[in-house]
Amino acid sequence: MDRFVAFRIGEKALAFRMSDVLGVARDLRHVRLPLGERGVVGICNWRGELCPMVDLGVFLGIQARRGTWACIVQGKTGSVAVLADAIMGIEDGEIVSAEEPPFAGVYGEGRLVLDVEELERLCGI
Amino acid sequence: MDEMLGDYLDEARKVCQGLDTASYQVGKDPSVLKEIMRLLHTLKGSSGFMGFEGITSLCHLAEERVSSMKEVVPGFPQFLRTLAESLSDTLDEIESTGAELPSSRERMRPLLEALSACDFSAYRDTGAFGESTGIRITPQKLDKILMFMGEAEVARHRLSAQTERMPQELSRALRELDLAMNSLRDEIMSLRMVDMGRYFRRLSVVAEELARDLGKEVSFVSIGADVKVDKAVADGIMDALVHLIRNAIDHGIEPPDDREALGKPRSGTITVETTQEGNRIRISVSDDGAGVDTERLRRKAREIYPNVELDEPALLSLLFKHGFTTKDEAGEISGRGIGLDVVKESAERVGGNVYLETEHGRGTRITLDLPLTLLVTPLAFIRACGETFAFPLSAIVRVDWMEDVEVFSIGEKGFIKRDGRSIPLVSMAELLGRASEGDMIIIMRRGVREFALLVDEFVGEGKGVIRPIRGAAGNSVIGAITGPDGTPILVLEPGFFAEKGVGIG
Repeated sequence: MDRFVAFRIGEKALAFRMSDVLGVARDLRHVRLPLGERGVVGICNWRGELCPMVDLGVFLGIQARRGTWACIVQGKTGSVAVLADAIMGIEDGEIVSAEEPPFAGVYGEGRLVLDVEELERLCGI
Repeated sequence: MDEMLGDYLDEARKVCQGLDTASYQVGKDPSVLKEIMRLLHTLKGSSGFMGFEGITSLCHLAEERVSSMKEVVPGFPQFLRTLAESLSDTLDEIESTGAELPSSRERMRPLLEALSACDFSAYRDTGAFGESTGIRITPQKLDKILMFMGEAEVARHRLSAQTERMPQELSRALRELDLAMNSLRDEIMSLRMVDMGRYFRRLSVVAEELARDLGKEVSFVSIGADVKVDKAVADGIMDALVHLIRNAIDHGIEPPDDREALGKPRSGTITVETTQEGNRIRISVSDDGAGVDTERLRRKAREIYPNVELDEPALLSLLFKHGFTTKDEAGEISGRGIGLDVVKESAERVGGNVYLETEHGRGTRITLDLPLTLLVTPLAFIRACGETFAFPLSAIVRVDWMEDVEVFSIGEKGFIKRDGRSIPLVSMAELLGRASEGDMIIIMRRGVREFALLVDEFVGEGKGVIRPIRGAAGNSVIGAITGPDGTPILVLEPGFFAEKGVGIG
């Protein structure tokens, strides 16, 4: 049994492995990139570290409604903040099937688990 | 190759660290000898593969001695520490010069002698900790310390601005803190400064090898080898300097017979000179070769821009454009139109500029004007589209109110008139695709050209520790700093606005 941090972008339920998550935050101080490309929409200050802020909705074809929450995960070389509409909480589950990158698999009732390394690759981080 | 060398150095440094650690355990636990053998074997293999014969021989002999060692002989633990230290010094030299230098052979000689004689008595440890002469610190660790130091300095500046509102006692304490911080900064900074001489050695090797390959005679002269430069700046422009040396030999210096026919000495001279002026470092690469044929350059320029008559600075700036070459056929070394654009990019990446001076038949000098350090960068803060941005202060020429300058347009392009010159104008909001009305003009420099940027407001000058941004920031952003309230402030790349806005490449 694994633990996950579940969140929502639009109506899509997603999750990170608990071990990848550094924290969640609301209304992080951030600045938009002038010409944000490929999902990196800005830079935020997470506990003194300036880290890229990613809007996954761009890749998933979903328009985030508010995106005021962020789930901060440990990337390969630093933290990455992923925008979310809501944080649904910590859940237990087992990954039952593998998915195409950037997803590591699915657990529970169709919660897609994101692979952080693949996510970074996708965003060119 | 650079990547391979980097991997090799990482692995080799781990081996040195392992040997150093093992030296403290081996006296207490002889089974550590096996671990020492494994470490030496690893380093021998990778050094052999990379062609570093000195390290390979030393590791081979040491491995042999350790394999025949039944118990730890007196002096061996200290010998092992000296071996690890000596190898680390050699690796540092390899990192900066790309080769094993004669000095590393000299350093290894006493170690080889001790190994050959299997006599480590000269290394007997007195057991006193005072013997140690220093500690090692990785460049990454040092950078982290410097980054926090820079942040502390920025916070101190912010606090200093409030002294008028402070009680006297607090303001005195702040002055004392200022003095202590200045001393601390100077001491830490000195750890990061390196002599240019170590870079000159590599450049001289490049020059000698290339001259030999091209059948040219070249004397390499270096001036200012003792000038100290921030290692991050020097590392950042090393490849650019190699490009300049290659260009000077391939394009500049004529073959010996041609030089003789021109009344020049058979051997050409390439001079690399470093000088420090205030908080700037200037590194120039000059040659006494053919110089740039500006008439030929003009003909080439007309092929590309048939309707534009370029002045000399604009003409010379074409040489820094990607893909531009005056050669009709590409040579193996240069002439493919790559090189000077890379030089310009490298200099700009560390907050510098490039200038080219040339005289046909007499030679060329290319000067890199660089910041002394990358630790704390002077910045100019502006507001545009409702947000605060920063530019490196070195790129700002002057600031004007919109109402104080004459604005006119030719076709769809805007210009301002300043001191009798027409300077292309671009709106920052327009470039960022956002709506905003500006009323201040920032005149910026891009190489030898100037351009004007329309912004909402010029906030002022300040300093910041620029941190790189991971991710798809494109080429419009250099990095970011942490603003006074913790919100990041983007430091923008002037070159992006020059290229996108007014087509200055």
